[in-house]
Amino acid sequence: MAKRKSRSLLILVAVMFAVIGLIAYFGFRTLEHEVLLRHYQAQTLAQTRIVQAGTFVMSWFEQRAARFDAMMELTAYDDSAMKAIVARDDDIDSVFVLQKNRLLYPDERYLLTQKEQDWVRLVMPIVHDPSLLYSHNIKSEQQVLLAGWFVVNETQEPVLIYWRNKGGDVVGFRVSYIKLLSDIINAADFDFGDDTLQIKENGRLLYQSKPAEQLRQREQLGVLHLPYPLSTWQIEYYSQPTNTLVVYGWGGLFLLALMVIAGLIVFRFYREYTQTARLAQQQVGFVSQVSHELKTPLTNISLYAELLKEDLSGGSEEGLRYAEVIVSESKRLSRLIQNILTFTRAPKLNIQPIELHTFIRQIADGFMPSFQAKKMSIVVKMPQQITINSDVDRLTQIISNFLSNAEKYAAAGKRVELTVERQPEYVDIALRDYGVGIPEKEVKMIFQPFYRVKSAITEGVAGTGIGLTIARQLAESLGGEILVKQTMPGVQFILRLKQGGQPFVLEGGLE
Amino acid sequence: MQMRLGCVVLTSLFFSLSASAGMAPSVTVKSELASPVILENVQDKNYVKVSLKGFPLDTKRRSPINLALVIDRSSSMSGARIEKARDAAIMAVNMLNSEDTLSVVTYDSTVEVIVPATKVKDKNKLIEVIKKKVQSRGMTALFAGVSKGIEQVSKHLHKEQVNRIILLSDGQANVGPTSINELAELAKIAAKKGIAVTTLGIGEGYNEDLMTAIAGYSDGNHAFVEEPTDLEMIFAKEFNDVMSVVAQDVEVVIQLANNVKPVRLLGRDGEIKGNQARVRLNQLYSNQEKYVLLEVIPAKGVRAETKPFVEINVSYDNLSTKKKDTYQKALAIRYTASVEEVKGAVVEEVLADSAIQSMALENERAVQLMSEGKMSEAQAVLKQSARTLEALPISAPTVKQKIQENVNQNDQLIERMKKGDTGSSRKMLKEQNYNRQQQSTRDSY
Repeated sequence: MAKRKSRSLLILVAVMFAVIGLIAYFGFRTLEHEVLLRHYQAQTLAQTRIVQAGTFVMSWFEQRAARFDAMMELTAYDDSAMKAIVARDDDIDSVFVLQKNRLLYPDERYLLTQKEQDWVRLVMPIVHDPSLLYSHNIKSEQQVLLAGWFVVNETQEPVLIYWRNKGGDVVGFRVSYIKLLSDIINAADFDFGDDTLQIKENGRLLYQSKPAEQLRQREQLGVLHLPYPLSTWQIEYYSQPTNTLVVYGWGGLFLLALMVIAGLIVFRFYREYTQTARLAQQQVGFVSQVSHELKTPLTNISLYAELLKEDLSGGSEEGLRYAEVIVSESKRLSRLIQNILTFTRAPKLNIQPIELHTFIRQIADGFMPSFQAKKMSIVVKMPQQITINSDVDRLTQIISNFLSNAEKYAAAGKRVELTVERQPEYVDIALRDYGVGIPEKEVKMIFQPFYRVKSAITEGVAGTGIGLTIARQLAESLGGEILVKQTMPGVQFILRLKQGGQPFVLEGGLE
Repeated sequence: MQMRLGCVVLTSLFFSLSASAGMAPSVTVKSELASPVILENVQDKNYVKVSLKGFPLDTKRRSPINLALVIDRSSSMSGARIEKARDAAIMAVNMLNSEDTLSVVTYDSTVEVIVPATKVKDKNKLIEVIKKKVQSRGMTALFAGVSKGIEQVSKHLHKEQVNRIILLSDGQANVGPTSINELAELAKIAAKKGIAVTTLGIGEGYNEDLMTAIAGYSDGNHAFVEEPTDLEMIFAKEFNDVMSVVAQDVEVVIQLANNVKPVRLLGRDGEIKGNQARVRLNQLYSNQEKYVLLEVIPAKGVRAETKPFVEINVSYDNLSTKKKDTYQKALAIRYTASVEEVKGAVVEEVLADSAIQSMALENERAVQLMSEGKMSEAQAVLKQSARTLEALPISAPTVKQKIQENVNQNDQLIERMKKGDTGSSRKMLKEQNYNRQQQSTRDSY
């Protein structure tokens, strides 16, 4: 019993571990996936927003380029027009007009202001080598660029020029870099909720989407370096670090709850099971106890009935018959009790040589009175000499159960055949009846404890339903098995005793 | 912003437009030479002065103001400074009326427009916003602050109104573009749009070079607010100025005759091209004189000869008539052999102004020495420039007084420096010099 209990406890623990382990594993994988997903989503979002901001900054150049193109197209390249542009236009700081390698405006032949002189000095390298304007942007030899941005970053304040080639003349507008900075600061207006976007120029902060946000505890999710002419600019995106602690914390808590619930359910099932088992155990114990108590008076009854029968032999016919009934019934009761006791507590195995011829006969003789009472006959067919190593009590009990069943349920067949067959590997002890038989689908069930075939023949017949169960258990304990063979009519129960490790069949030969 | 009393007596040299234009008020322009009579065959430095004086303004008929207050609310402003700045902003709201436009920009690490450019109608609401939002925190993004100020004023930019930014800061710019060059460029952008930036530096932590540069390039005012409690008074003065603007977009062109060479413009910045000098002033205030001073070397001439010397053209937007006024005047020079005659003809005031500008240049050198930590040298320079100015032979009492004021300023500074008050001395000197070089003199507030 204790062994069984510890085994079920082991199973319980194993199942519990398996369930909890599975929950933990899959739960953790789900959480991991969730964290990864969040991180990925945040990064994708950051990328989108950075690109959005980058497009916004670069649109400043596109707008100016479009406007300047129109202006350059419409304006004559003369002195007064250029002067007017510089004086009037907010965006344009200075202008140059270049023809081949000659500066048409500002014209150095005339007097220039200090500012104009500085400007001339700045554009001199371009005058000498106009290819400077587009050399940064050349992708193929054949490509001829006719307009574009040009920037010189070496000077204290970067020089930003939009130039355009119109029929060989190159016009350049210098745009105040400070104007660019100021315009970007003024126009930038992003709201990314809790996240922060920064536009930086040469490492200097120009714009931050969320004023007064401290970025120390923020995670940088992306950086975009802007293209020429803003190669010194970058856009950075900061966000709350994906809070893995929250995901893992709450997720873990949820998993823990799930595991506890699963554990409780398993434990509950186990409790239910052990309780039922304990209850059954108690019942079996009780029955066993009672049966044991019944055994002593029954032994006395049997003994005195035998004595009475001997006393009466040669006396009253009537009295002898009564005594025989008492003997036979008390034997039946004794078998019943033996069955119950065998079922509840397995007796010790006691292997000894058995001479089957005598042994089978004795059993058959024992049943003879009750069979005769039902007008049934027992036919025994077996080889003369055959001895096997087995347990007498168990063998007796198995064969008795066969006979007892046949007596109870196959009385209509009027006869039973008890045969012993010897094969090289095994010995078959079989009982065949000529009753109504057992339906095929119930053959498997009859070995289950307390199962009784429901039919007209079992109706009104007393039985515990454990006879075959015990027979099978006993057969297995002897290293054998019980086979059921439909014989039409009737059924044949075969006890097949297989050859064990020790000498099994001691003498005798094949029939 | 020192008060200067008793300035300029009308003389026959006055050319008043109000006479020619009837009752319509106009700016009084005066063109003079320091020495209209010079010795023959001598080429001594001479000075051309063009002074402009705003007409008195009927306070009920002042021009609408388009004002942006740019307030530093970095953490260094905490305490009395931010409180006073808040009070000043509220005062601004109270002094404006529904014709005026106001925007309030605050900046710390980044910039925030707390009041977008709007007509001053619901004053209580504006005051509430200011009270709530003008709180100190963070760093100093001065560039962004001024940028936003320009943007806000630009939204309602009109020629007929006074477009102005008042920048209040106590610190060094430390976020975004921070160099003097960059902020000066920004001030130029403002000036090109016709917006003046007045800079008020609070306490001893601000960068006076930066603040004067911003004011200088946009032709605004600059003041050193030593104590937060002074802020209200200085703010009131500034407002007085803003409300008394009578002319804007003033251009002075001085065309010298052949053989007369321009040397330099004193104080004010301008463009010299060939023998033409061009100076732009953003605005003129009522009852306040501003002038342009050009140092020249005259051509040689012979005794009793009179030669055309200079032609002066002035144009400006008259805010009272909403028209562009112009002024033209030619001056001639006469040659003589008599030293006495030369001395008698000297216009003392022009001479004094040129001496004061020379002193300002010397004082700039003192500022430089102070930033290098050479305090005793700086004191020596200040002392020397004061003594030089003092030695100028002047007889007119009003001019004498003007000179004495400048001498006193230097002497007081030296006293202050001796007490070890170097930070504020430098700021005070910078402020005084700024006003000197902006060449503005006032009748009174």
